[in-house]
Amino acid sequence: MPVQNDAPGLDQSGKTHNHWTRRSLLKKGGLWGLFSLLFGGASAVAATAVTEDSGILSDAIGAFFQNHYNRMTKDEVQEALARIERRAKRTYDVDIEVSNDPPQPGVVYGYALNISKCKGYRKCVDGCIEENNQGRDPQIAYIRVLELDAGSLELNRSDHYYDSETVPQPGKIYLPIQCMQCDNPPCVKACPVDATWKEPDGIVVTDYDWCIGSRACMTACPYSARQFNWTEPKIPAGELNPHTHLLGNRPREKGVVEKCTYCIQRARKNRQPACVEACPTGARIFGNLLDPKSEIRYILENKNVFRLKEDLGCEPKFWYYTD
Amino acid sequence: MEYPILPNKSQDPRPPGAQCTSSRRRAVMLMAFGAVALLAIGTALYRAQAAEGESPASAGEKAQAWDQIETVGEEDEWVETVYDDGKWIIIGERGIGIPWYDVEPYQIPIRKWEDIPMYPCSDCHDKWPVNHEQRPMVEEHTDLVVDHGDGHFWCTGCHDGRGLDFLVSKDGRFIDMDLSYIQCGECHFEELKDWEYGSHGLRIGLWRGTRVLRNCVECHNAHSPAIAPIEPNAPPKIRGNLVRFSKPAVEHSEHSKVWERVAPKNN
Repeated sequence: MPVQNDAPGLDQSGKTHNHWTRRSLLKKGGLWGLFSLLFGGASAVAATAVTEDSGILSDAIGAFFQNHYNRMTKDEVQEALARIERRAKRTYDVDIEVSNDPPQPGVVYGYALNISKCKGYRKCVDGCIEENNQGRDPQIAYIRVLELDAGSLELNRSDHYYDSETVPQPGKIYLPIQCMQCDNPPCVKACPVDATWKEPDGIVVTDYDWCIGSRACMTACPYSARQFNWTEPKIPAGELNPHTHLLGNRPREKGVVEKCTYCIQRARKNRQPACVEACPTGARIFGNLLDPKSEIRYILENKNVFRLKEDLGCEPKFWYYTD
Repeated sequence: MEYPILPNKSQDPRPPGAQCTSSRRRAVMLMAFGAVALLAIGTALYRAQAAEGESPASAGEKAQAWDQIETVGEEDEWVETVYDDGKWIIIGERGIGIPWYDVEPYQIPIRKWEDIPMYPCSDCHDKWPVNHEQRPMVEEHTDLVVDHGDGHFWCTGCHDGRGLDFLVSKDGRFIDMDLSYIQCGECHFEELKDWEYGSHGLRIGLWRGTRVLRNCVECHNAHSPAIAPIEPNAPPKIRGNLVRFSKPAVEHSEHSKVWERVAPKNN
């Protein structure tokens, strides 16, 4: 290994020692000086300016320097969780619990939806909004229920603002669309800062603290499954769901893109997603694709299934089927 | 009052015309399924017999096992497991009713006593003789509308006339009130198959582990099963300065519907 001028290394005698040159000393000293100035100044300001709630500024600084989710150490993750909890306490005066459940081994989540059972009640939409702490005004919804003419799947003639007095309307079918957790997700490729990625259990997640709001992923998604927070999300404090996940339904901020995560906070605790529990028709089936005995595997092997826009090659893990 | 577990013609109080020819039906069934199908009948009783180290059951014993598949009205055969509020039951190791495929074990919630508040029916019906005549209800059950089977059904088609605490299968065997899906599946066998495999109906609880399924009658009213259209939840709000581009505004009808357009400014 060649000895570098400005880096610690081995000399010819084989002993390790720190080889300080003027250049490296200047570089490191300058860096440390910058950091100490920043932190020292910040802590000084925090000590003087903030009297009652002394955590705000330090939290802001901590959040500013928070690393990418996949590069954080365990301690840093714990600090990030605590910061989000404190922030929710300040904003909503609600004690929330932010978890960081890891993916379960041997599990890849899949979803199946029976379009001959779906009646367009939109119960899933509201169940999702309550569970996942979406902003209420403007309303963000991960699920859109498209109303289509029976006998066709022409999405460009669909309508998700249908407001008939009763559903199902004769001659119409209903096709809910949400994030399909593609196995080959185009949104992940589009993100310029790697803020979104696919977890080992197949869920495409977003690091909401790392997202810069470029909205490139929204353009890339063929299902329009991603939603952008144009304003600070407004949620009534009483409706905030306190059981959250760092990559899932934790409170988001203005200027980040959010998406369905198959209710990662529930799925990783073996619970079914909120849309499955909200659906009164039993049209929605959720399960482990790697378990040959699971219900979803039975459907994939025995029912007439199709995927939306399959020709794009995104490999969505969301199947529609008919009875 | 003690009910016979197996159909016993000598004790059957129904008129001769109403009796099912259960023995002939069973013989036809036996011939149809054959030995292979019989092997697939994994009833809890049969497995229990096998577990006790008995010799492989003869054809007669298998037929007896087939008899006893659907007679699980005995409370001591239920195994209650603790799940949420400890109200679920396991039935054997597999689904009951259709013996020709292997389904994953599942549990169903108990409905008797709480969800069927008038149960046991024999509290009242022991006092009166069973009236098989189809007639309007004037004294009791006046709110009950039987809109199932195009008017061909009457109470005793499903509820057992011998003892109204049970349902009755098409060949005259007792079916426990909690296992009403067996009776539904006698006609709606495709739905029962889908339900047992998990592609029909609601799964409650967790996605992992033993499945807990909603019974048919928790969603479908057995007496008038058609589900009426209901009002949908509110449509999504249209964002900011956008308006919905309504259908009459599309001038050329060939053009596809557009979801959102910029709102026209006020003059």
